[in-house]
Amino acid sequence: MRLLVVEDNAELAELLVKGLQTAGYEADILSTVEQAASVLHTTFYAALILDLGLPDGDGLGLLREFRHQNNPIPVLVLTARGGLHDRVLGLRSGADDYLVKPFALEELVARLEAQLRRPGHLLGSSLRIANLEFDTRNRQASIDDQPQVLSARETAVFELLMRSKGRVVSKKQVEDHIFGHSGEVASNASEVYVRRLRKQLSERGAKVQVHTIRGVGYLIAEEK
Amino acid sequence: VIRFKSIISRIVILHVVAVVITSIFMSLALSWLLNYATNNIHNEAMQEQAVSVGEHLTARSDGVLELDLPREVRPLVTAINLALDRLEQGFRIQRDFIADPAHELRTPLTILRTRLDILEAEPIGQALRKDVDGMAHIISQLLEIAELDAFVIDPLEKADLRSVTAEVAEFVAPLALAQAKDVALLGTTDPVWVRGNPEMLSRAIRNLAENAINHTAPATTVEFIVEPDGTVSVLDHGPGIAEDERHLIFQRFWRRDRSKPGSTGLGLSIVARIAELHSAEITVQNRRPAGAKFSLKFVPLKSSS
Repeated sequence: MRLLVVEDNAELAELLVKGLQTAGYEADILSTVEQAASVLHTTFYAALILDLGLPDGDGLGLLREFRHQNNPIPVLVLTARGGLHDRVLGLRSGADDYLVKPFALEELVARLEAQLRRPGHLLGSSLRIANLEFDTRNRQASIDDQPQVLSARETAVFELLMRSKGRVVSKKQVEDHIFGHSGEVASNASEVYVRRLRKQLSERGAKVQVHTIRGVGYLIAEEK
Repeated sequence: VIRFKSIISRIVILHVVAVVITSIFMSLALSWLLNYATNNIHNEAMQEQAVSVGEHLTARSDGVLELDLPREVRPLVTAINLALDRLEQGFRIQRDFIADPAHELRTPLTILRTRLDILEAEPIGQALRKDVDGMAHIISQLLEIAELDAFVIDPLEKADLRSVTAEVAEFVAPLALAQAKDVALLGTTDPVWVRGNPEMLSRAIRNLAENAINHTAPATTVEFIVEPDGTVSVLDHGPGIAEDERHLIFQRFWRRDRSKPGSTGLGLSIVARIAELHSAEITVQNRRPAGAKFSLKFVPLKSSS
């Protein structure tokens, strides 16, 4: 599986490639928006790691162009701009995830793998936290390698939480994920399904905790 | 002869008086100009005005001003013009410097961080990574301050305080959980439109949030409350703020406990500066039995606008 790193600082690019190699990925390096645009037309990469401050333009423009052409390549944006609102703008322009410099290599690999484990971008397809596992291909949850039966909606919530490991999933995201954009949703619907999922997981010995962040959303983490 | 002499001396005196008055007036006007220009260096809007005053003087000095003025005053005007030119150049350099320092500083830090990540030298590697992270934090805050010093607020800009606060709460929640603390977002769930730049509002609230999470007692919750009048409050269960420290906490680099790692003493000064730029009111109260409540009241927009 090959990745593409678009970063204009040659030293950083080399180090990232070296770091990605130790995590088991091969990567090519490009340093301009123009090169990236033409190479991505002809070559398939499993994911793109894109620096926003490139010498010949803003990576966000390239990103919008891809998405406009329905190019589904997972894109992880690197940026020196640390603003929280910048982050939101980046995600709205079509980035799948966003890392602010300086970041830990471990974090880069973790975020990358969360993207690569989407169906269709298969790197092995399982997401793991503690003794919990979720296979994104057949949407099967397991605890200590024992397959578990969950309802369709519990599975939907579980998948969303597992994909967002380490980050908060908003109530709205949970509702959209369970019900799509159809019809009215009861105001406590997300809470109901999260509570059921939490109960199922703890009864079956999962060593994780589903935190409720009041007024904000939910977050799954290893039990302490 | 005596009469003639006295007429002459009167004319001389009148001249002298006229010159003295003119030069006093000129020097007052020019020193006011200079003061105006230099005292307000931190205020971009004023800077622009001062620079444009400078440009006026410069423009006129090429044609009208220097020609119309008595020869004695010309060097003074030229000197002032040169000073204003240098001032303007200074502003330009400062603006250019602030335009993209983030990239210049953060990229080498990333290189350093990645090198340490690849390096297999535990536990020294771990200690070094922690040092780099600490330095990255300070640099981030200094960059925020530099940006704020050059920031011009767009009077037409508006932000939804409720959604900005929700973004911040989402962002800081994992940091709080990692310290066995919690966050909660309370108050209105409707949009609250206020005058201001969303990124700046977000930074102010994030700094209050990080401060609150660092100070709140273990196993307690930091609460965010958004009110329809444009107020956002951040409440913690920490030691609170002593009366005699209240005027100090918003100063740059002030820290109660200098030995405490990870604190730069810059966070609250960033909050104060953003509040000032937005004509927002900051209030700090202590809570019973323990804790602090920081509130920012922004200028609300009518729901119709």
